Amino acid sequence: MAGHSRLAFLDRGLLAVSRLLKDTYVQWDLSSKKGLFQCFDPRLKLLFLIFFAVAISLKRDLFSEIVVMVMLLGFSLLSRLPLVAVYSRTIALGFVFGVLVSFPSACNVIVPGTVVFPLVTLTGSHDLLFYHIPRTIGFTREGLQLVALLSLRVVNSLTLCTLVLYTTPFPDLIKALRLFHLPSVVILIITLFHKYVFILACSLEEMHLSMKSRLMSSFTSAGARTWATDRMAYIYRKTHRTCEDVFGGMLSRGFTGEVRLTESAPLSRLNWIAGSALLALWFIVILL
Amino acid sequence: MADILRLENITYRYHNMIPALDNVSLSVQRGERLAVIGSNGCGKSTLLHIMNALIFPQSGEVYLEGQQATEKRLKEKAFVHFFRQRMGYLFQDPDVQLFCPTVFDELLFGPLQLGLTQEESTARVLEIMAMLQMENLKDRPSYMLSGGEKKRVALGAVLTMNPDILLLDEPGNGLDPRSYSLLVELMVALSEAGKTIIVATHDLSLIGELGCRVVVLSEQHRVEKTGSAEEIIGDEELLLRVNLIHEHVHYHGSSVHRHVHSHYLFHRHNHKESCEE
Repeated sequence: MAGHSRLAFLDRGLLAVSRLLKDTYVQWDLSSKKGLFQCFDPRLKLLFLIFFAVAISLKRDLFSEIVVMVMLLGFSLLSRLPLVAVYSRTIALGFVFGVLVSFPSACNVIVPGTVVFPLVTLTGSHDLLFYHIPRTIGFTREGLQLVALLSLRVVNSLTLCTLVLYTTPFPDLIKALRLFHLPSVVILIITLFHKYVFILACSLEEMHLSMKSRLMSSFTSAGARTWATDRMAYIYRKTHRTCEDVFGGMLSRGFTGEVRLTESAPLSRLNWIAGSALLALWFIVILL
Repeated sequence: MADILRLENITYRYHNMIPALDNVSLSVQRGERLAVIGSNGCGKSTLLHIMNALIFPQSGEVYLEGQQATEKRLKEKAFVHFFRQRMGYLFQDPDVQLFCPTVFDELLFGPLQLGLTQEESTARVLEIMAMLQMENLKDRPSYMLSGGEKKRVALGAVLTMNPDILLLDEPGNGLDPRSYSLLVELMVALSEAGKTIIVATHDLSLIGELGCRVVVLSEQHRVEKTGSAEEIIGDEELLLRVNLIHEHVHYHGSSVHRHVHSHYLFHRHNHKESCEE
C-alpha cells in the first residue's frame, strides 16, 4: 500500500477541509434549533460573549470559575447543544492549553508554596541561576490551584465561544458586528471571505475525490506534491477570477463604492429582559 | 417602437489579444424578447457583460435609451443610478452574484443601493420572495442553498431592483425540470408585464418556448444571422454551421442511426431513411 501511505498527507489535509465543511453544517443545524440562546438576538449574544470573556479572565479564584462553568453548562443544556461533542472538544483543548502548558508551575521549583505531593527529597536546597531548588521537590497546593484555575479558564472561554457560535447562524453573527460600528463594507468583506472559504473548501474536496477516483496505480511522493502544488495554483487562479466576477456582480447591482446594508431592527422586549438577566448574572460573577 | 438598447460595431478582445466579439451590432426594442445563441466560447456572456457595462469594448458604442454608456460616464453617480436601475443581470454562476450574509440581505442589497428607504426596500423584497416562493429561504446564507435555489435567489436579487431590461446568462443551466419550467413561466410573465428580456443561451428549447427574436453568434464571434425563433430553429444548415446541432450516431436495437441532433430540441430523424443495418 505504498500509494496509500504516500497520499496520507493529502488525505489528512483534505480530512481537515471536510471537517470544516461538516462543522459549518453542524453549526447551521444547531443554530436553527429551538433553544434558549437561539431565541436571543445575535447582538445580545455578542455582548454576552465579550462581558463573560472578561469576567472569566478577571476572576482569580476557583469557586467563581466553577460557578461560571455550571452556568455555561446550564445554558448549553437549555440551548439543546450536544454536550458530549461540545465538552469533549473544550476539555481536550483545556487539557492541552490549560493543564499541559501550566503543569510545570504546579511544582515548587517554579511556584513556591506548600508541598502537598512530594516527588523528590534532596540532601539540601540549591540555587541555580534564578531558580531556587528546595530540598523537597513536589507539587504545591498553590501550584495545583493555579493549574486548575488556568484549565478552567480555558474550558470556560471555549465553552462560552462554542455556546455563542453554535446558537447563532454565522451570517447573523457577522451582521451583529455592526454593534461596534464596523463599516458596512467590512461586514461585506467578512461575509465574502467566509462564503468563499466554504466554496473553495468544497472545490478542494471535490478535486481530491476526483483525483482519487482516477488513481489506478501508486502515487509517488513527488507526484502527490506536484498535484498539491498544481491544485494550489489552480485555486489561486480561480479565487482571482471569482474576485473579478463578484466585483462585476456587485457593480451590476448598483455598487458604487459605498455600501448600504440592512439596518438593524431594535431589540425586542424579550431580548431586553434576557439582556438584563444576563447582565445581573455578570455582576454576580464579578462580585463573587 | 423605440430602441431601448443599441450596440454598434462592438469589437472586444480579452487582454487585447483573444477575440471575443467582432464587429457586432444589434438593437433591442422596449418590451422585446431577444435571445443571443451560439456555441460555447462564441462571446455570448461577453456581449451581456458589455451590454451591462461591466467591461468596455475596444471599439464600438453601447446606447441605453439613446444615452451612450462609456467608462467615463459610468463614473458619474447620476448616470450609474440611471443605468443600473434600468438593467438587471442574472449571471451564469449565481455564486458570483450572491455576496450578502443572508438571502433577505441579498434581495435588499439592490434596492438599498438605488437609494430606496428600508421600508420601501423591505416591501419590495417581501413581494418578490412571495412571487418566487422562497419565503422559507429568507434567513439562509447563500452557500447553504442548492443550485436551483441559488439561481432563484440571484433572479430575485435582480427583480427587486425592478429593472426595465433583464439580461439572463444561461438562465436554465443546472436547473431541475420543475425549476426550469417555473423559470420559463416567470420569463413569460415578466415579458407580459412589459420587461425587455435578453437571454444568452445555447439551449434551443428555451428560445422555442420564449418565441423570441434570435441573434446567432458564429464561432468567429460575429453575428451570423438574426431572425424569429421558428426561422432560426428551422435552419438546420445554419445551426450545424454555428455548432449548435451536430451529427449523431446511435443504436436502435441492432440498427445504427445517423442524424443531426441537439441535446435540447432536436432529436428529429426518419428512422427508415437514416438506418444503416
